[in-house]
Amino acid sequence: MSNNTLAQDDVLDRTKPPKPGPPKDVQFPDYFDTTLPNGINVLVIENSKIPAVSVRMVFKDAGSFYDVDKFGLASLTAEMLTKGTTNRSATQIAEEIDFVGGSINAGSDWDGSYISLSVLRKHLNTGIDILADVAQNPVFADDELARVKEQRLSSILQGKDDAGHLSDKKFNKIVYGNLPYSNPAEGTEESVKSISRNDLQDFYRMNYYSGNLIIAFVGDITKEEALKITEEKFSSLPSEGINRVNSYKYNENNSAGKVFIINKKGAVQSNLRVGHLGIPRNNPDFIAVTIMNTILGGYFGSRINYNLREKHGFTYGARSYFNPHLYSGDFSVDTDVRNEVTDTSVTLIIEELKRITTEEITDEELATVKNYMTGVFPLQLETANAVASRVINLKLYNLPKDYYSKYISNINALTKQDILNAAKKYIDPSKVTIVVSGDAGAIKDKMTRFGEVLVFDADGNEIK
Amino acid sequence: MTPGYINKNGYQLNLQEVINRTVYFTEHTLSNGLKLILTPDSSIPAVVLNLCYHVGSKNEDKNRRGYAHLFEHLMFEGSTNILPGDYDRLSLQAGCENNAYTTEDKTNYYLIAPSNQLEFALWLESDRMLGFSVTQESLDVQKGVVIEEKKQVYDNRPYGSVSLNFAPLLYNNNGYSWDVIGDVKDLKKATLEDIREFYEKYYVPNNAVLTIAGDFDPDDALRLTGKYFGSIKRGKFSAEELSSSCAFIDEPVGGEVRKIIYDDIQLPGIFGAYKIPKENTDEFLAFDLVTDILSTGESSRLYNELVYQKQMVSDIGSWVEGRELSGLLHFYAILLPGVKIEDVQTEIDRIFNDVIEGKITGHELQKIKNRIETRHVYRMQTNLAKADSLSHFKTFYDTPGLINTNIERYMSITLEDMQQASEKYLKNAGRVILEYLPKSQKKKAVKNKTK
Repeated sequence: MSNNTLAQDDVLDRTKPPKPGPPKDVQFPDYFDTTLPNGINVLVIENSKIPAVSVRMVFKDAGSFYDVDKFGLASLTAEMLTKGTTNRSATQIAEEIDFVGGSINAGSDWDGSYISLSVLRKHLNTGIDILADVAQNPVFADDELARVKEQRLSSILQGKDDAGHLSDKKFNKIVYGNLPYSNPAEGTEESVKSISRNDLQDFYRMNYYSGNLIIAFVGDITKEEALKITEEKFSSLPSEGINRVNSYKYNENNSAGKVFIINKKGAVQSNLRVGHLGIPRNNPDFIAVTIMNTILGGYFGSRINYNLREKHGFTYGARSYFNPHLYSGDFSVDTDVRNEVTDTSVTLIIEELKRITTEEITDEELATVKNYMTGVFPLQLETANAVASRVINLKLYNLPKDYYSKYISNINALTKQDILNAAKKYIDPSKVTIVVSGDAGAIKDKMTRFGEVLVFDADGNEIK
Repeated sequence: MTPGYINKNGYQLNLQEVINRTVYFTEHTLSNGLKLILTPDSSIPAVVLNLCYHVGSKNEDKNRRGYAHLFEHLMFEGSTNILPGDYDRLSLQAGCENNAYTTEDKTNYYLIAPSNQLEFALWLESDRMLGFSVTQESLDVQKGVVIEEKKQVYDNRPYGSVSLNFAPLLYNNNGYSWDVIGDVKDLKKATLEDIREFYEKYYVPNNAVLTIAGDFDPDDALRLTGKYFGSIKRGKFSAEELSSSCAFIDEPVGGEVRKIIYDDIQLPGIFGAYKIPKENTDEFLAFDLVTDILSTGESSRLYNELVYQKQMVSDIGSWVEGRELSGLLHFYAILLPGVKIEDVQTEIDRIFNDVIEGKITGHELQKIKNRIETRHVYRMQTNLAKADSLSHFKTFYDTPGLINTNIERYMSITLEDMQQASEKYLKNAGRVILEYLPKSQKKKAVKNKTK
């Protein structure tokens, strides 16, 4: 129980960091990948570390992008899958999955709709039966829809209390112009009220089909078991979606040089977004952009966090993001700062955007970010579900199959010039839109130096 | 484990079928009192250092509220051989991830390093136990950061001030009477001397537990820990003196204490808390199951009745909060528009009363034990989670093996255990209720008064 043989400060030089040992090679885990004749893409990420299995169904390119004018439709459709099937009521579904200590969740984002099961291996059959049922036999009953809509309306109402949510909504609305990403994925009071059972059924028929379905089996399960389950339990979806159309074109907005304030009277901080349009996930420069953004504002040691938090103490934290979707993306710097330094913070942020787009980064910055990305990569592969998320992303965003096996070597090949090129190409400080949720009375005057200031209420209506 | 064990209620529970993944570890103590736990696992080439100091906000003086957490920030601001800013800079350069958190009872730091950087990690982490060298400039900046943290997490967030309001109403004049974030006035007046005093008292090897988890050779880890931590001097006080110096005198909540808070919110909310036995007692574990039965999963009692059947609330929950010297049972609900707080309160009280009267069924108990089993299995997934649990159980109960044995304790809880604990601690018990109302209602209340 004791070890006290090594109290050797006399020989210990603590002034310099000890040298690392030889690095270990990190391999992205192998996985099984096949497409069945009905179009279902089966993935198996086998790992028996814990006796549990997740099954993740992903309907690719079938998310809120297809809401059209019924904002909230994709997410309501997904949510309603677990609220009753031709075989089970909502209460039965909840009771059966809860009893085995498992969970079934359904939801959507811009790029897909998802149903996932998580269960101990010994309860896999029970879990699969419920998952297959909710995915293939939903009834979208009117009384259940009324409940779900009521809940959704209350969460839309609650969203008006949240400064970050208000900023995101306004920022997306402006930056994405006429792309569907500009709309609120959770819906509006008006749109949610207007959505009917027929809308859900149409959305389901259009977007839930075997030709766009990925099923990932993750954890303590073999590929033979996974294939057998898929063939026996998931064969009743049609192979094609009905009436699918995607004809969106992007028109550039002309909101640069304007400041949008969402007024929250009495707010003690300003929640900021400074940014513009970004890139889709499968942009070939994505890795260079990620590394450039990490240095700019992507991690704790970034320029923007250092400047706003560690140097000035203006904020608890500041970050920048390239937030990518299937067809487009956005770039923004996000932070919460005290009211008095709202304008100073925007100035500091814009200066950092100018610096990264005009000057090469230092050798130390490049070395640090490369070491960091290489060092934390294994942590992103620690659980089977974390690996699965990456494999699913390859499929969802049409990325090359060797993306993750070449990930580290691609990062290490980047030069200072590559980083500068990525910044010049994808960041333009003169085109940023500035959005603030905060106390307009306290900050409006100071913000005029960035351009015309427009003030809105939490419902998005302009206050003159 | 007893195979084929039948509990008092005749509900069959085959304990042999309960999955238990043993976490293997060894325990060591350095001559300066630092406790060390090693748990090797080479699934990925990374190693976690989790260092838990047995000091939290309950150790603060009444007029120095928030110093434990402010101190957590300052630990990243340089030490004997590390310049201000270099803890983070060097850690990122070595490919490490780091962070820390503070609770009422502990301050916990972690560093995750690639496995070839174990020695670097021990060097970096040991230096801030070795010596204090925070500057006035760092102190001033970090005060600003912490004050903005309070605004962002508590003041500027809907219902964000719940824990600030609860603390003084639940605890009477002891270390749990204020929230970890502390008080802005106290924080602003913190001096370097205050901070140094705190450091010298608590940031000592004999008041800390270090757990190393992940891909390493145990002999190497033991040798290197000795090399970097072994020569750090013991503190002036023993760990026992430090914990006994923090006297904890507490009284029950007298009756029902209610407070109304007008907040920037659209929907009213109700937040309640009862005092229950402290963490790791059998009764605390029983309440952990009770609250899961009440609100985990859509088939749980509170969710099924009040969200689904009666559609009175949009969110509802109940959970236990375990502390070293006390425990709390929390519940809350966010109301749907047009619903009255007193009606929701009546419903919640009725459901709690059913628990007190022993109306939980064997089926519900089995369901929640299955849930606990799943949770136990998933918790063992990452080295960080394992290290955090081992450090915690060692720090407070000197029994890191609880990481393996707690599951059996949960599985042996009976319906009677839950009923008896509920009757003793919830029936006609004192409690604190916070009513959160939209600010717009305050104006109305005032208007009515002036009329």
